[in-house]
Amino acid sequence: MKNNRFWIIAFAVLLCVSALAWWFISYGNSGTEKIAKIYKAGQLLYTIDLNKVDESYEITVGDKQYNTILVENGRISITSASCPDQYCVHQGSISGGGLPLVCLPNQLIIKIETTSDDDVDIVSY
Amino acid sequence: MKAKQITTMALLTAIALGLYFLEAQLPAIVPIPGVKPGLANIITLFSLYMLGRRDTFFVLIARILLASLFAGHLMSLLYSLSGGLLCYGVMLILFPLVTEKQVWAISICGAIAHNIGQLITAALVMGTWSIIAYLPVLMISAVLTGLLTGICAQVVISRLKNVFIK
Repeated sequence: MKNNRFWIIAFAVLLCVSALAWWFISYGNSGTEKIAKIYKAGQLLYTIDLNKVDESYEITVGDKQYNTILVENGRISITSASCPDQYCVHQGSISGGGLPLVCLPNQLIIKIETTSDDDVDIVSY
Repeated sequence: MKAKQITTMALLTAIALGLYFLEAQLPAIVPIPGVKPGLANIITLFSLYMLGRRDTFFVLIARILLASLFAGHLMSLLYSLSGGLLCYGVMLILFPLVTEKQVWAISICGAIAHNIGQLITAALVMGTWSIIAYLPVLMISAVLTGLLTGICAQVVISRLKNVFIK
């Protein structure tokens, strides 16, 4: 470990593997089912079948620490939030794939599952 | 503890705090939490080589506590601690095993550990492991930012090691 070449190779390998993994996670998933799950502070709050959404609507999660979520057919996104960095708003919409939408300060995460074994349209807990 | 030692540690803590808040003012390159330059790690590395393990630990903890105090969020304390401690632990183990020409590599390893620590914390807070999907992009970020801060630290250490008196 005492020469630079070892580390250069190790990090180059890590970079390649990570790039491949990232590509795969973002674009590899393509099922037709689109079940969006919204978690707040560790609790699953909503399960929404995005394919069954006719008209877009908004959900607001939280009050002082809030996120406004736009639910559309096949897509979901965060349109406004109370967090200082606004990363969640800038993450845009997701319509599948493995990457979730996250708002760390508000402890919110939205992910889409492309396989599911219940056929509900929307469930709130 | 000698007064000079305390003063040096306080000075390094202050510099680390300054760097931390400086980079907080920079706009984010991508809207992914955890992708940041990590400049404060330059100080941790410098301190590890110049002051030793125990003093570096205090500088690190002091900087994390003060930064979270000034930032005002309890959550940031949790993330900073988990990332910072894992980063410190990994660098602590690795740095005796390499020469001073590999400081840049230790920095990258620390950055990787830092991101993994924060990712695990996020997954526990969120109640789902789905956030692990961000691991690849965080690894890429860790290698790049770790390299940047590592080179800085390596240059500073090599220039100051003969003149820095503990």
